[in-house]
Amino acid sequence: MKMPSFAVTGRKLLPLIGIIVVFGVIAVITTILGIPLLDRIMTIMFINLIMVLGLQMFMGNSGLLSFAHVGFMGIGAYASALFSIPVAAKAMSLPALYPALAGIEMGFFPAMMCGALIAAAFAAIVGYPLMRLSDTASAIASFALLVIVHVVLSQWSAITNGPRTLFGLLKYTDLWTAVTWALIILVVAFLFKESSLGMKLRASRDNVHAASAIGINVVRARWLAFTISAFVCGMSGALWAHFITSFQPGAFYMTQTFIVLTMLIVGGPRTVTGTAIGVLLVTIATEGLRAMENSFSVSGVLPFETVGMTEILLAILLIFMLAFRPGGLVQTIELGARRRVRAAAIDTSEAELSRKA
Amino acid sequence: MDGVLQFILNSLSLGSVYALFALGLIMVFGILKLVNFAYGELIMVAGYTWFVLQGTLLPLVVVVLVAIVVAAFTSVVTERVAFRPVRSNSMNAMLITSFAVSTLLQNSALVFVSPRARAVDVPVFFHTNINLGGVQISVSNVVVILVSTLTLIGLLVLMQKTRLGITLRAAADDFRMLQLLGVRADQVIVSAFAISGVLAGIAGFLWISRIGSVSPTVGMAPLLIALIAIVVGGMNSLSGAIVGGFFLGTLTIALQLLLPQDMLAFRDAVIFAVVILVLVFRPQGIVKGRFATERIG
Amino acid sequence: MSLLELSNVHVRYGAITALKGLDLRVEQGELVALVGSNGAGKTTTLSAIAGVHKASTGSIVFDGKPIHAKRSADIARRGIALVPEDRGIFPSLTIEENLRLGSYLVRDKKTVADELDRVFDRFPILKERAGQGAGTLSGGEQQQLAIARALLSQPRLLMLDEPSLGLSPTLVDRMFEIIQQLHEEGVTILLVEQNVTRALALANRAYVLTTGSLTASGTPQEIMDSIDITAAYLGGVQVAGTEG
Repeated sequence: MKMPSFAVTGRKLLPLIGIIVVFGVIAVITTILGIPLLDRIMTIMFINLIMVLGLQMFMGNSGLLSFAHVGFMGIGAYASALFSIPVAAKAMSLPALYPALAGIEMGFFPAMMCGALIAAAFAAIVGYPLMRLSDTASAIASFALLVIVHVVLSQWSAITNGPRTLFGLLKYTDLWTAVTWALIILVVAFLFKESSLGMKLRASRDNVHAASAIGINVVRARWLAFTISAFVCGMSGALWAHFITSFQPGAFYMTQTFIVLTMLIVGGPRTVTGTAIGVLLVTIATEGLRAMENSFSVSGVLPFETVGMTEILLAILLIFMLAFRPGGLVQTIELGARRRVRAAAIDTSEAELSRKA
Repeated sequence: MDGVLQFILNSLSLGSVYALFALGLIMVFGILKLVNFAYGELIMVAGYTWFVLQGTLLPLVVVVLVAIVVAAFTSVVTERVAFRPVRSNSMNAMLITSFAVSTLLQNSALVFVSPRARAVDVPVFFHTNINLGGVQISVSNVVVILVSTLTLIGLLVLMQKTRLGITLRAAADDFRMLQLLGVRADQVIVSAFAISGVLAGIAGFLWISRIGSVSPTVGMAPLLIALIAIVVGGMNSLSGAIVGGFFLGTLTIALQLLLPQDMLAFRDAVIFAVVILVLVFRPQGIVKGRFATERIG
Repeated sequence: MSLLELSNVHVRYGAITALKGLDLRVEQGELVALVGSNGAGKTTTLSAIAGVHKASTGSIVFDGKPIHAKRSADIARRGIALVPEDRGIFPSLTIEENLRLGSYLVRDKKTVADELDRVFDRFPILKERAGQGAGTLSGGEQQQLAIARALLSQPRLLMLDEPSLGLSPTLVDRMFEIIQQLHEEGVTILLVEQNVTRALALANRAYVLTTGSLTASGTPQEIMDSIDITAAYLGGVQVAGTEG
């Protein structure tokens, strides 16, 4: 008697369905409650979920650390804004804009797609040589890339308004736009991980040499993943830009990188469900801390400024996680999938093998 | 002629500070292969120590010494509390930890001192010029070049002549073998962090006396500078870091003179593009070195 | 009481078990050879003793005290010196600096100086080139440096991993001469070798390792009698008498 193959597939899909239900319920409850502040927090959480899933698709599967992805989010935000800001408002928002671009006005969806495509194209062009690097060198290079994107965003005044605030965007994103896209990307990230490309990447993550030896073109696989994940991050930037509607280049730099990495690491970069849970938990923690921060600074109980307390506590949380549970909360087996004890055992001992000094 | 000499002096002065930045960063990198993103915050810590102590009647030299000690102490504490527990995990975990430590220290300054920049009292004579054989030389340049030269000599002696220095160099070569000879890993790593902190303290004093104020993000630029310098220098040797630092200092001064004003804004983007190109095409550094990152494809 | 005693030692690399319940002992003053084919677990055994790889089960007792949970630096401090297969030379240090690190644990300056003189007598080439970079040495010279460095720590047990590997025939002869001399001077040695005949010629006792477990042990003569040396190289050791 053979098990019908769809049953196996069904079991594999169980974690995905579970996490979609959880996030769907959160969205419905938020809508029913109708509290504006909660609505805002949740919308940003869903946008962050897209961003972090984009990063997970590359980092989680390839095992390479990337600091650059928040830069792709920034490119998506600025590029989509460039296409969507109404012609009438452009003269105000971007006074130095090139005449060739000043006449463009698109709807939100095409603008978002253009933004994401530009982010992906940029990643594809600069990313290829980086994919040959390993470990530390690639992490440094991705960090350099983040700095470059930041410098360009804050200095190319003609199309970004420079370090000043860019305004004039229309508010297209609402809770359900973010929810819809987040759920779509959840499915995409999950399928990506299980796809043949995802499998090749995960093989290269576990052992680069073995993966190359069995004929996997590791550089190409990483490059494709880098480009696709940049597209997703670009989308999240576009959604964010059209929710916030006015922003500065500083929004896509160290602080956001830190928050995005914390979400990914706390949840578990190797799993989609872990990533999603990380986003949820870090959002809850951050917002809870912010609320306390605000009440403290209003009441003046503490003898110091409280802005920044949240980052301090998040940093401590992150350091703790890395010390005691470096693989994140959901390490290798998707939450809700049947636990394959043997596979888990092998994985831990491999981690030991790669231990340093 | 005066212009040329001025250019040389400015390059030497900036380059020597950059070289100290790079040395502090490579000190830890050489042994753990960790780029310590929290390195810039050690400079910030030194700056705030200066800021806090300037109200007291202590002479500047004492204030600076205390600032150096505090930076070194902070460095050692971060090693003990944050880096040691993750050392047995992956390199990515170490890198993210250092990023977290950086965020932690920056925001601590923001919360407990102020988000705004605070002025430090740089002695007035720093901004005066002295006349040397008809050439005007700024005192601050002289101080910077003097202090960095002494620091470099001190470091050189430490690394070449002492038991600790030999141990540190051996650790950069083959840490596993060093432990097989009975040298405890923790001891070596703590020493490296301490030296890194001392260098950050000295370089921090010079840097902050240049810019005249300290803010929570004051360490960002030094970190980036050090990062560029060690990549350019080949990421494997102290001499590479020194050469990288001077190279970058000279390049910065030259670009300031040569680049048109509207392009100057993109200077950092250009420099970081160079970093990526070096990593990709010449991982052994553009100067010299034999370090080659393992690469695929 | 044996100087070193391993009982039921297992070492795992991921899914692979490299050592499956090894029992081994070394007495004071002995030269014990550990032989076997490539991948049999010889290097793993030395790594486990030196604390580079931890034994997952079993115990390693040195001089009456368990050391299997100790870090490699602390094991070295108890008097076990390992000369690894890759020799572990610090290439950016000079030869003299390499040697100074060998005597890292010896506090008394007089002893260090005396030992250094003895080492220089034994390996004159190192004295000639003391100030040069160790990275410039040839393979044979590096091997001499590695052994010299290990001797400077005045080890109570010297472990040599494939000291003849990659050396020219003349140098191989010289290397085995040195090992014999050391043994005669009373140094306790655990020697891992692929050159089985040469190793057995020197050893007091020997162990044959095949894919992670012992297939024979005893005096060199007993080993010679009991195993088919060529078969040991092919991985399948046949112990005489077990066959029909």
